[in-house]
Amino acid sequence: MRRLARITPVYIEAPENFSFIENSNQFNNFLIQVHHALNEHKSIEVDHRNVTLQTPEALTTFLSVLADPKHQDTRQQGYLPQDPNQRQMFFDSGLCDYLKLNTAVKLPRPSGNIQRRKNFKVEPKTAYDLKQFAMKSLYGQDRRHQPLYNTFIELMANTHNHAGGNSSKEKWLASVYCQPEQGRTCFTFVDTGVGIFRSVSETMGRMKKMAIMLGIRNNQDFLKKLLNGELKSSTGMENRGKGIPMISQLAREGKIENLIVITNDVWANVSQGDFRWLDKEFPGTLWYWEVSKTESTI
Amino acid sequence: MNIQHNSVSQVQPSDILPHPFISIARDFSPYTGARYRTDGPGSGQEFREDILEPRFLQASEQGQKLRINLDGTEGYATSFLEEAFGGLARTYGVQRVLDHLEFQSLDEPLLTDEIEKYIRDTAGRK
Repeated sequence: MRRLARITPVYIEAPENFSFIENSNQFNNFLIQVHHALNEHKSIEVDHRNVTLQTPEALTTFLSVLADPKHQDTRQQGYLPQDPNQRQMFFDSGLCDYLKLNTAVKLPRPSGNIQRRKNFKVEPKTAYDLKQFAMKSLYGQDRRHQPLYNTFIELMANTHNHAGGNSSKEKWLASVYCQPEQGRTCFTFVDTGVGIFRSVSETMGRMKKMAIMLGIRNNQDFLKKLLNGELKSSTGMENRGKGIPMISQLAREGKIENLIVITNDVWANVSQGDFRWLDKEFPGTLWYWEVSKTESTI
Repeated sequence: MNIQHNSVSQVQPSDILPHPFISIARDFSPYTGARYRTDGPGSGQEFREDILEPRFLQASEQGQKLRINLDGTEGYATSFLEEAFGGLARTYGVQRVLDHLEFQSLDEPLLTDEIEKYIRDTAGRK
């Protein structure tokens, strides 16, 4: 650690529109810069002063990079957004636990609108806690919401079984960001593993053969088939691989809204059937969705 | 009113013994998990091995149906259901499992169809 103190940090300016969903390529380039600087130079200085808009999935993804155990021995410094609203959200995001601030500021009280959890296994109690936090924000009390609970369990299982490819178990980070005044809650589930398609190439020989048989030409085709349940799981067993299609079905039925998946070179708004390419690869998988307040129970 | 009475010799074991019953939320956990024990707590494998299988065998040997109540949990991952009930069918066969299990759910009535599909889908597979 003493040696790190002498290293000049790599200066990186955060995009003004700090959103992975809305400003995907620029935000992804920012992440790539951060990854590279941490891996090669072990020290970064990230400037958020000009940030005018932040979205929860971007903050959670950035946090997952900083909190990655691979970057444990690095030095991470930063500047806060100047905009007071953005500053509150930045504090709430948990980034200040990792990013040492370059300016002395009095930390505001947490808004209580964000909850985060991380692990590498399937943690049913954590899925419940996150669901409960969201329901209390939306309705003032806990309510059952099986689609929400099931989505968390399926994603935890998916990360546990696939995200690391052939290597070690990959961690996931989940966040719930409540917007009670809009009657909406935003959920992010991110792993900085190898991403869905790289995971396929590393571990899923049989599935790759099937993809070729099914006439899949590229990663967008592959993701569509995966979401539609037209691919068997990487294990090649018929009884596996139902989790992701189930999440996709919940989105089609409107039980979870605005479902977005970003993995490797694909950006997909599953709820709207909008699939796009990213300019560069995102080394991981991001799942984002929303749940709105409704009068009926699910 | 014409009331029919069974003679002692006509009474079946299932008429005398209390109907075997499992509430997953009460007897296992309201927080069910994924497929294998290695995935984390509350897995389908854990439920099958520790709770379902011994009670299923007992019910099966006594010619009874084991009633499974699915209500009261936070939800069910597909892998939990497949491993618990599909896993049982892989060991004991589809017909025996269907003959001796019965599902109940007021919260999610369609769950029972989904589970029966997982059981039937195991036919011919190990």
